[in-house]
Amino acid sequence: MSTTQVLSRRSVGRGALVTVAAAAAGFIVARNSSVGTGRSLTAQANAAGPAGTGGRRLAAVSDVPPASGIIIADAQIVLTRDPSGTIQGLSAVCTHQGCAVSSIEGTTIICPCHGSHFDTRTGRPTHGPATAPLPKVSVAVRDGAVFSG
Amino acid sequence: MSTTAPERADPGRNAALAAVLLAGTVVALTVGVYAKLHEPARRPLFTLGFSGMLQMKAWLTTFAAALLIIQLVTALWMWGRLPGAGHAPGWAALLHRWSGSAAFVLTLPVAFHCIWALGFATVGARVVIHGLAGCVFYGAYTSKMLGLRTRTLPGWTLPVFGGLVLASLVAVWLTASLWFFTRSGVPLT
Repeated sequence: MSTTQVLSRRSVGRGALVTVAAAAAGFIVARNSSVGTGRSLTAQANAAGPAGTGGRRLAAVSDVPPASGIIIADAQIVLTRDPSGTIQGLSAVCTHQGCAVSSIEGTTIICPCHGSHFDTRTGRPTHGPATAPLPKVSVAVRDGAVFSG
Repeated sequence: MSTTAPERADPGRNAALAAVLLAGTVVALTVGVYAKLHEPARRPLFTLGFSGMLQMKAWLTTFAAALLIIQLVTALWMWGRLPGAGHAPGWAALLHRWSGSAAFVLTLPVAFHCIWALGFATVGARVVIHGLAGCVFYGAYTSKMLGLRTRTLPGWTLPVFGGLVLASLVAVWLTASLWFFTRSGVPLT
């Protein structure tokens, strides 16, 4: 306890100087780099978003149930069917705090972290803290299989 | 501290206490108001090897909270309130200072993501208590650090500030990390 330096005009001034210099340096770095720019949750550079999976085979068309969907966990994509029955890809990253959605019950996609629910047909939130829909992810259907776009 | 200056009715002492309290309040309010006003980035800047931002936050907070045990024991010891332990050796103060510094550094990436990526949310009592406790933690820490370096404060201030730092971090941990670890279907790390 006795080693603690007592505040003096000089030490306060020095501390203030270091703080202001650090703040200015941080501000300049943040302004001139892309680090501080917001990206969408599904951007590839985002640690919580899906990695680039261009052209990868995700599932067979027959694996995607008619009024529900399946989660392709490693690609962080949910394959569902839109209201017309066409296969669509949705991000599997919850729009609330970036957790991976974990299960689908009927037409409800469920995030385990805070209990947000999303509609498989539209991706819109139906319950819980999430307010933004799961973004659409482009997928392509060919030869009876679904590929990432 | 060893001088025999009169203990009561010292305007300098009151001014110092007011300044230390004001600094803490300003920090707590700044953190909270910024978190509320700033449009959340909704993405992590880094996850330090954890599978997601929430996992990183939950574990770093847990490590910091574990260091609180050392903080509490060494603080009680230095104040002669550790039953049967006698006078605290010199290394108790060093241990207190450095384990406290480590705990504080561990909270920084957590707080950054709370404030910048998620913002001050108000959905439910747990979330509100968590946000308020986080703001109080940084305010109390500010007052504690300034109080430590101000000679003219009343004797009760450091234990009260220290206790508030400890209590607020425990509240933060209970309302987030512990709660998070009890969720099923969420990757633990």
